[in-house]
Amino acid sequence: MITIKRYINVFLFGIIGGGARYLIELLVISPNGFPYSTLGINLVGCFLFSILIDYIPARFSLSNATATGMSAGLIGSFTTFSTFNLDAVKLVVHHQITFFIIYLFCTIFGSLLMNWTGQRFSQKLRRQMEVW
Amino acid sequence: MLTLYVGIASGLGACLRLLLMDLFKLSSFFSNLHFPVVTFLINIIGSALLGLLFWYVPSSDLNTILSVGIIGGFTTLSTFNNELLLLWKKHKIICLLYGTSTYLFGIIVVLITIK
Repeated sequence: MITIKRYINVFLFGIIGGGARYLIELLVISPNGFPYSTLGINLVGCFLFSILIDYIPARFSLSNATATGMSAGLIGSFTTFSTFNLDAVKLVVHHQITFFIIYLFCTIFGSLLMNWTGQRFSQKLRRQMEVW
Repeated sequence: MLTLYVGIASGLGACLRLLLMDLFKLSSFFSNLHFPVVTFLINIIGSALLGLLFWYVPSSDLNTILSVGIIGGFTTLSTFNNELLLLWKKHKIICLLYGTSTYLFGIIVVLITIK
């Protein structure tokens, strides 16, 4: 299981994922301190993750190394848990408790919902693929 | 240019995450546990390190590379959610325990490190 090829794939895809996250955080300026960028990144990433571990490898017959690169590398480094926590604590420190609750709620349930929706969408795409 | 450095650092963080996950898979003790210990540890340790970097290291390009790059690429929300959905199908109690403990400890360690 531990092969150099998987690590190279995860590293290269990780550069794209992490670079994209940094660019989005630079470009999206929040008008009121609410961390829109991190929330958006995590929600979109969780949706894509479910498709990238199921439909995409099957559709394009990707090798195990490339598939791991796209899921664990690209999306794994695009989404982030640590920044979410720091953002959440910053909101508490700045006494933006309403934002804190909304942010927590949207991340916890929103990201789960996005992963789940991604799974359903991926299954639907796979069924269409089998019909062809 | 900083974007490229942050990207490369994220790639390294992601490789480190994969390495830990591979190592834990080798241990029959951890792979027999239904609780995904390794993702839990990755996210909690990453959050603690980010808190420390934010609080003790003055903001600079190096800090951005370390925090947004290495730690950001190291921790992950997508795998965590995916594990939650997988656990929910078979082990509902562990799923709830895993979800609550990750979010709770994640916030707690950041609070501890920055206070």
